[in-house]
Amino acid sequence: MEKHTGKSSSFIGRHRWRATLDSPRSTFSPKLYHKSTLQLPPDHDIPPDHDHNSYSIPDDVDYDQLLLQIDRFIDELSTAEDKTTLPDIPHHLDTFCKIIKSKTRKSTRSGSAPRNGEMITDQGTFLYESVKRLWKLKTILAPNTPLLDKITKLLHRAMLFMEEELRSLIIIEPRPPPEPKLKVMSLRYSSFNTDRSCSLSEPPTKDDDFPGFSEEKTMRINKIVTTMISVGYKNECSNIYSMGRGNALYDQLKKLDFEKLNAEDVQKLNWDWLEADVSRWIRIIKHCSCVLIPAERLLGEKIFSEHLYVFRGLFSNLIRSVVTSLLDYAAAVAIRKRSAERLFKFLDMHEALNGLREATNDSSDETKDEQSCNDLNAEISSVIDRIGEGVVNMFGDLENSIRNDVAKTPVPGGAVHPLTRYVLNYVTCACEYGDTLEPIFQQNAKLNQATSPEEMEKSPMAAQIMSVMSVLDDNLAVKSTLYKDPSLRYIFLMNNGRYILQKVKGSSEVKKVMGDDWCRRRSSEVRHYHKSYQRETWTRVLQCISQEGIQVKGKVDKKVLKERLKNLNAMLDEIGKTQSTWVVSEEQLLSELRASISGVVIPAYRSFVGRYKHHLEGGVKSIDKYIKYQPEDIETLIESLFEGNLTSMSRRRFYS
Amino acid sequence: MPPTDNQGSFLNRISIRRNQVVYEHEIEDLEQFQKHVADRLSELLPPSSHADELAAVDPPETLLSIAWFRRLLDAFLCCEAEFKAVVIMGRDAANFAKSPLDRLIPEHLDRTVKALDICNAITHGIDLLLHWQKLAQIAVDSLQQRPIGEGHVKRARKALNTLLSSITIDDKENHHHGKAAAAAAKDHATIGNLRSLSYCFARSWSASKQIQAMSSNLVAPRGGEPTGLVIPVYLMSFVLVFVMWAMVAAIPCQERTGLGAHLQLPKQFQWAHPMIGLQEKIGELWKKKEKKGRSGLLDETQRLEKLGRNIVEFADGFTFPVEAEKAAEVEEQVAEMVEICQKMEELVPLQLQVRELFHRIVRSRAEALDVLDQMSERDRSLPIRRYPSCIVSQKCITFSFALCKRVFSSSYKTYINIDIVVQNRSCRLLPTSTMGEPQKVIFQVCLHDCRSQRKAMKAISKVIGEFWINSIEVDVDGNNLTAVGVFDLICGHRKLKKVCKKTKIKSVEIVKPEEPKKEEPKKEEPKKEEPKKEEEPKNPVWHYQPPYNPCYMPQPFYVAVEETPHCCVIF
Repeated sequence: MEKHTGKSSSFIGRHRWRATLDSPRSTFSPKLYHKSTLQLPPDHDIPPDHDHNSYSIPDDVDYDQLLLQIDRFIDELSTAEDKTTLPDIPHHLDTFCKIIKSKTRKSTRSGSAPRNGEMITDQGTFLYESVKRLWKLKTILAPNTPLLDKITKLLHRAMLFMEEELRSLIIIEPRPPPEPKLKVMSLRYSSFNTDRSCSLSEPPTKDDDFPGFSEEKTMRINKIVTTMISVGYKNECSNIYSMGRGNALYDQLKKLDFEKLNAEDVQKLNWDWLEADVSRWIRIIKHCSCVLIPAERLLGEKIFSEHLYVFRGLFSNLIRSVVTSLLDYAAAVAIRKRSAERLFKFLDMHEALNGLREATNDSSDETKDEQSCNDLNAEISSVIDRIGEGVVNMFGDLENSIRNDVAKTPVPGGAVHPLTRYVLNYVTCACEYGDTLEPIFQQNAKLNQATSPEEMEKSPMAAQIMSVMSVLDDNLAVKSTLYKDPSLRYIFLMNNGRYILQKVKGSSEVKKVMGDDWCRRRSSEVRHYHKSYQRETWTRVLQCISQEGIQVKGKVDKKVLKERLKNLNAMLDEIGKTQSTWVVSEEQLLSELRASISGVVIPAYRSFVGRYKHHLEGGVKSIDKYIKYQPEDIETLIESLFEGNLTSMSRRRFYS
Repeated sequence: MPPTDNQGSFLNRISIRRNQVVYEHEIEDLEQFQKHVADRLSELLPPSSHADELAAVDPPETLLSIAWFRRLLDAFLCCEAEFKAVVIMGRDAANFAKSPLDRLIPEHLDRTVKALDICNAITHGIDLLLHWQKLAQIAVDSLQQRPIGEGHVKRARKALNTLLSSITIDDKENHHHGKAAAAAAKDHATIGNLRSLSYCFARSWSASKQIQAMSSNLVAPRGGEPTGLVIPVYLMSFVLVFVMWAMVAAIPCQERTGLGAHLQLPKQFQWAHPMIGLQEKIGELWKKKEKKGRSGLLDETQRLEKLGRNIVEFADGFTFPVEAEKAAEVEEQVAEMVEICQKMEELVPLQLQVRELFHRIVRSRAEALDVLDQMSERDRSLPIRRYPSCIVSQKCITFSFALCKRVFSSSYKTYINIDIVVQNRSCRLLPTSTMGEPQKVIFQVCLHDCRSQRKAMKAISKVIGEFWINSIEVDVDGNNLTAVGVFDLICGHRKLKKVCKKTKIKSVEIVKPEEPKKEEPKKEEPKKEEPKKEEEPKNPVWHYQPPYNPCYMPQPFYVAVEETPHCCVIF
């Protein structure tokens, strides 16, 4: 026997192809034929009936009547005391068997032709009922009777038939898309270009029909499943279910353009490409948690309505296999090198996974398989943790890149530094994700013992954002030293400070995070810069036009006056020349600045000119020579400041 | 039983060992690590002689059986944890910037990424095995019915036929699944080809190529190379490749031709010998098996296949009623199959273990990346703080851990507090997030008056945070303070130091909830886990003198942790 086994296996190995081709069946000897069935799909497993013509089923059988008769027979049997001696096998039992046989044969002979279960619909109930009877008979009949053998055979046959039926109902052969390559291409193309909201709304409309089982079909499946499980064919039934639904789910994923990348590839691909892929992945996850999983659960609960305990295990396995492969991808993405600009994708992933975790958890208690639910949850949580850590590290990365941003040349005109813009936009976006970020930081903060009580009060996320801001401040302070001109330095600080303040105030989320105190402190700082600028630039001007030192012993010292006016003119020239190239981009700040300058300078100048004009000798010509600027001229001068017109000047002179 | 009761016996086990130099201590750590790896792997070797077999208390698992794989993975997880503790963590990143580590570490990381893919493939392979198990279960169920009728036999035969064809089907065939004719596709559908399997990876993905890629640039270091860290990194790479190789050989996987040739292990190292032994044995088996289907070398599947064939043969010649002789024969076979089916139930925990492995690798990589990241911005980071490195000694498994914590920069801090969690191998592998083992920590303090004692207790009770402390006690002399609970010991230490400057961590042990321990400690393997996953305690009790709480009663445990105080430089 052993020897034979070895032989036959090698035989199979050699002839499998031929066997599956189905044609050489007739050339095989009967023994070999059995071997060859080994490789065939199960509907060939039902032995061909050579005598099927001998069955003559009366057409006018009343099924209900027949079932009643069988019931009566079963009752008789069960009440009979001596089980070894059978009561006469009634004629109708024979008919009954024949009918079942013929029914099941019909379907087997129809083979692979598409038969959408129409056989069962009309006489379906009869078959279910008769299977119940067969089962009863099988349990009642005494062992080792030929009748029992017959019954078990018949039962198996009916079961095979049902299994086939179930298979054809549950397993949906994927309709091959006409041009798969093209379709994939176009989908991917669209996912690159369409914006997020559009691509998100797309899949649900496309797959509205998921899982695509009509009520009637579900009922039929339910009937078959119930019958099969009650007769002990649970494993076959669950095999078909998991296979069919598993494949259907994978088809759905494929439809959504899910393409599993190796962890290795994920590490190697460049981020631009991967980003699009991650967006797609997020879409898939969302679709899974919103549509696929609930729909699948609903379907399963309908199908296994009588045997929910069977369904629990099946369902969690089904979901696990799908979700696991989705998770692998996320884990692979999470362990890429961190870089700050990936934060938002990570946060999206985090959100999507949280949704998924809820979706897998969200089931009524009775359909929940505790253990495997926990396992799956643990897996999802683990990936979420990795992503969370990634997010926290990205903030570290952000801080580091801010620190490392060392520029050799300052921004011309003291304008808002691009770094400030970048960081503020980043922080604003991050704060919009506050609901996601907060828990991440809280979780990761468990590890970092807050060092000072002051830090304890704030939420970890706020602390993090604050620290980003302070790092930015430090960096800006360093950058400001690049400006040799202290006035320009203050303009730079003022510009950036103001920008930060405006941005923070502009977004309610950020403002909430930073707090009112911070805003107040910031605006006083900006005011301070403003003052400092004014002091640096205009104090000297004001000193020129102050009364002090001009009158010596009650007399106006003309020499001093002339000197003063000369200086003043030179100063104003210089200011006009240089400061008109400086930049204050923010309108309000600009007008505030100008107003405050003219408010201080012009009245003083006006009075100065008015007072000392007549002391200048030499008539109008001399006056024009010394008083180059009329008060109105100064006003225009001030108006022309901070326009940032670089064209007239070469900048280098100011900084060197 | 108050916690102090065990203290005496517990303290007895501590052998105080003080090294003079940190460096020396490190070298020792690394050597220990190599030795432990060798020990763990040699435990997996099948006994070489008959005498060994008799001597063994319980029969060792068959090579390449599911139970064996579970042990292998346990061993690997332990090695990995220790590797991380000894080599990666608590070390100045500058070490890794030097040659040859600057090349080795990234290479090792690359390998771990490749291993991730293999883990995924294995997970899918186990899915397939589970599917086979279900089929076998059908056959078993129907053949166990009495009397065996033709219907039963047919049912069993059908299931087994599907099983056998699923086992013997060729990988190649599997590959061209999409392109094959409709008939073939249908054939596959009925055989039970889970489509998830073929969708696992791109068609060109090959497990054997993956293994080859992992091992190709893995060349043993020459003997002369002095740096202590080089060898552990190599060692870890080899163990990783070996474990992956063994799994690929045994569990159905995509495309494995030429697997036998890929692994070259270095002969000159002590730790490589057990691996070489295992490799030779598996390699022999693989040669015999290579061309036959996709079943792999897993002991259970091989037996299942053989039994399946026998039973199918029986079923083919079946007539009702059965001859007694044949019936007995079949009964025997069915009984064996039942046994196999039962063993295959273990696949579920094995799969979980593979997933655990996957997540562990992911985590380690993330941590290693942190360390490497730090390298690039080292100039700006704070000086590295080194935390106590503890040597754990125990009769059989000596476990060395660096309990360490690093502060990366002023702005963001990450540390990995290593917690030793006992995993009892007889129970199901718990998902990582559900365990939070309370620990018993003894601090050596110097508190000689009531006031300072109270202060100290107050201080330590403030560590709670999201953790909790079950009991705090100071012994009569005021020399030892014992805290039991789930808490951060580093933080506790820090708090205590504020009260008593000379505070030292004397010992750490895991308190196990009381449960009958049938297995001898040898069977248990320590595992580590991150404390942040610990669940919120249900009843946070933290009285100074706690009520009797049987659940968390401290129990002496075989892991003794001893501190080497010279390297404890917290703040």
